[in-house]
Amino acid sequence: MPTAEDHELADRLTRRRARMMPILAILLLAGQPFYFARNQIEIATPVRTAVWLVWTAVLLLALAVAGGQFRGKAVRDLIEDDVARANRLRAYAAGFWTAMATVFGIYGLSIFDNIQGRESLHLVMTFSVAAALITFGTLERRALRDE
Amino acid sequence: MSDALANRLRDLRAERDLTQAALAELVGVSRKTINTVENGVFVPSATLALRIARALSRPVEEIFYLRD
Repeated sequence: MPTAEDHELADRLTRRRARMMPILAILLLAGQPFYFARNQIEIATPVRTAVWLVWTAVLLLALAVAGGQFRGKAVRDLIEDDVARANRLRAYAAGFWTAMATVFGIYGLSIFDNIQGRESLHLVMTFSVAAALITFGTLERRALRDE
Repeated sequence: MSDALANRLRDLRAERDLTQAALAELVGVSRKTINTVENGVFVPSATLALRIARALSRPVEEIFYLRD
């Protein structure tokens, strides 16, 4: 059984995670004007592309793993409770539907403009990861709120 | 199937003078779990419902019921 200290620590880490998720999503979105500066994928240097790829992968990992990785099983289990798992599934669903909406948008835009494949993938991935992070953070914050 | 699961968790917890955190410790789950179950935000699994019932020493149907 987890101790009172485990509960306290898990609660603190859960709150921190819930606060951080939307902030990370906003940072991801805020970086996009730099990537799409002058609206040309060609100007996205390999470094910039690599930074975006790594950053997106880190955020995906942050969404997928439980949290409290180095705090022991008891704390990890408290952080990754039934509610967190249910919220994460809803966040994945939000990411999926955002990806679909982005695809529709790009498809529509491609009728009027020439959009490259890599550019499209970038948009789909960025928006869907951001939506999933924001949804997870919002649901977790709501779950923590006393009513 | 429009039945919603309701509960008397808040009242039963108060009866035993337990905070959400104290009940969470007894059940072995996070305070967040107790909070969401209590507020009807999260529908607990059968296992969790039984664990809560055991912690409160009450039959599960006394805590959880279907609202018509």
